[in-house]
Amino acid sequence: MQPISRFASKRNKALLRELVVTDFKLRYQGSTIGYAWSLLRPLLIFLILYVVFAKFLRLGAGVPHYPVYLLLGLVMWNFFADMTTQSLGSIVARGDILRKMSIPRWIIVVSTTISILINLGFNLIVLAIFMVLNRVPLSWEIVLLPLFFLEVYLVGLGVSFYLSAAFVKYRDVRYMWEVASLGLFYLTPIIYPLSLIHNATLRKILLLNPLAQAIQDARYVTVTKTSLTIKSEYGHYLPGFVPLAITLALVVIGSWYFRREARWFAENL
Amino acid sequence: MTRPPGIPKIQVERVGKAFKLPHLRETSIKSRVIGLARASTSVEKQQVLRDVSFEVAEGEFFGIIGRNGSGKSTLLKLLAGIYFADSGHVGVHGAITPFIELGVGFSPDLTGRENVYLNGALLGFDHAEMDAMYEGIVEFAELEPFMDLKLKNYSSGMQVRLAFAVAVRTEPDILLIDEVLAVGDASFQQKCFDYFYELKQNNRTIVFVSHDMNAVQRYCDRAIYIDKGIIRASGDTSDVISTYLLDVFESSSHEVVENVPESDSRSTSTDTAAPAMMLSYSLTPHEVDSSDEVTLRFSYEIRQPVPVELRFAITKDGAAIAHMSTHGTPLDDRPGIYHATFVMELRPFLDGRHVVTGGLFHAGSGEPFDLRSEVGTFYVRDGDIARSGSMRIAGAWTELPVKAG
Repeated sequence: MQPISRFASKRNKALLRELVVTDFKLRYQGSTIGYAWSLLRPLLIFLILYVVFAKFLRLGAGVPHYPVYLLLGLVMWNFFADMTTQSLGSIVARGDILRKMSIPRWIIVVSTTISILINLGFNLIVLAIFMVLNRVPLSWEIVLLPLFFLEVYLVGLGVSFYLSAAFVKYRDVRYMWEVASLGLFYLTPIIYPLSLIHNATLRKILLLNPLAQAIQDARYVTVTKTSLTIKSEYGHYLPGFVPLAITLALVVIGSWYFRREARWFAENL
Repeated sequence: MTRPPGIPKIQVERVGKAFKLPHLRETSIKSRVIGLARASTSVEKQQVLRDVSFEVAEGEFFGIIGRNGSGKSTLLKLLAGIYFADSGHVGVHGAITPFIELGVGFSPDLTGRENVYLNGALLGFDHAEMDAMYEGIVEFAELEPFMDLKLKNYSSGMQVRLAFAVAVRTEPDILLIDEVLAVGDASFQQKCFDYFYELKQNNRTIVFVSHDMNAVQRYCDRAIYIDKGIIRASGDTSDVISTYLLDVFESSSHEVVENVPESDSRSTSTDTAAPAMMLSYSLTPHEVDSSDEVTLRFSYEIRQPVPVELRFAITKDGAAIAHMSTHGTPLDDRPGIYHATFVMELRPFLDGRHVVTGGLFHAGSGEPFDLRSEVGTFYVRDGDIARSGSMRIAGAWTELPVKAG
């Protein structure tokens, strides 16, 4: 394991910065309202889901501040989903550079995730607006919220490393991940409250998914104490180590696999 | 292995590199699964480089030549750290800038200015460092008025100029250049080579891959010639170039020979072999001094009535210095066996090894029927230390203040 200082060298930071800036400049090129889409897109998507699930299907009946509850879950899920889908093709997309220069390969993936982090910032602005409009009472525990975003980031990063490296060799990965992430979306209590599942064992199992645990905990500290968490389902905090261990394992396995494959990117691309 | 003088900047030791053959690469999981289900035999690999060793010293201008597909570019990518060797060791000491293809890392939707900074970052320079170098880069590329234009509006010549300006102006310890200069116009090429000299003066090291033998000859201190992944010649640039050129010549004559199906010489049916071919050739004597003559003899056969022409060339140090042909004199084109003799005075030649290459050509189209890379060799032993080069200057000093005693 190299010291962190090697990863955060001046050279790498400069490159990371330039790649993120380039990515951002190029993203909305050719669109009339440009960066405004960064705010508008999550807002409009949220409105559609809100109308369908909260108004038509009345899924959130009984959940206090359900619109904010739903939005927070969506923001966290999109953070993960955008990160993994964008990262998946990132190495292949930057093939022209990788075939000609020997920049550290991981920077490509990390720069993609940082672009997604910037996007997350816009989403959080939308979230904050809805919290105010919905008069969500704030508790001091909201300071813990960044921790759960960090957890989602780490899960996303581990998966991104794995997917982006695998995609270089196997182009099926894109379709497999489309299906798998859709499955994961429904296995995670995002649009439905976890309390809708009556089987207690199933609830316990679902909560071991780090995304489910992070989303439920984030809702607990931000929106409502009725959000079901590891503590409320198991009776103590200890099983909370399972999702944390899974998160750690994903990061370790993902970066190990990426590192192993990175040597051959240039010739496999 | 030839060892360069001075501090080694690049050390390549017994490097081997193989690629999986493209049609056998598993690009989908399905084919991989199927591949596993079958008796998993060893994956077929194409050996691109074998046991390649050389060193490049600080301040050297080093050439790599060879035919397409010989492994030159793979070697360059190993040096650049883009590929990794299967065996052996590649050691590079110092900051290296690869300039391997046109417009490295350029983004067509960004302006020229933005691309300079992006390219700089890819080479490891931060914004402040690029600020300092920006003026020089733009000036070198001669693109001042176009820097705020998107790159997609640049011509390919402008793109390569900009990319090249970034590569050289960032003053790398080691600069790798692959063929790209062919894109720029003559004056820009000259400017680049002038700048290479400047880099060389500052003890920078340059590795240059090219098909342009004139450029290699003029600028490279040493060179290697790679053929099918093996170093065939290394050391002095002109020796390496002549080995390469003779090989190229030989293989082109082989191609002609291979086109003749073997059975045809025995077959009595319709003859599809070359309509004309060389039967024998000779050059005598081999070792001469300038006063002598050599005699070239050719025997050839015409099988179908075609207009033929004899041609030969004399090469010294790998460069053709003179050509002779029967052009302008129509030769008998009826089928049959013919002999031709050329007596050559050696007065115009100076000390050294001279190789005669020659063959039989179609008099109209100039297509070769039969080519021989070495009709013969002769060594001129002259001993006139005042003269050098490939041609004797006719004449003499008519007035010379000779030192007394």
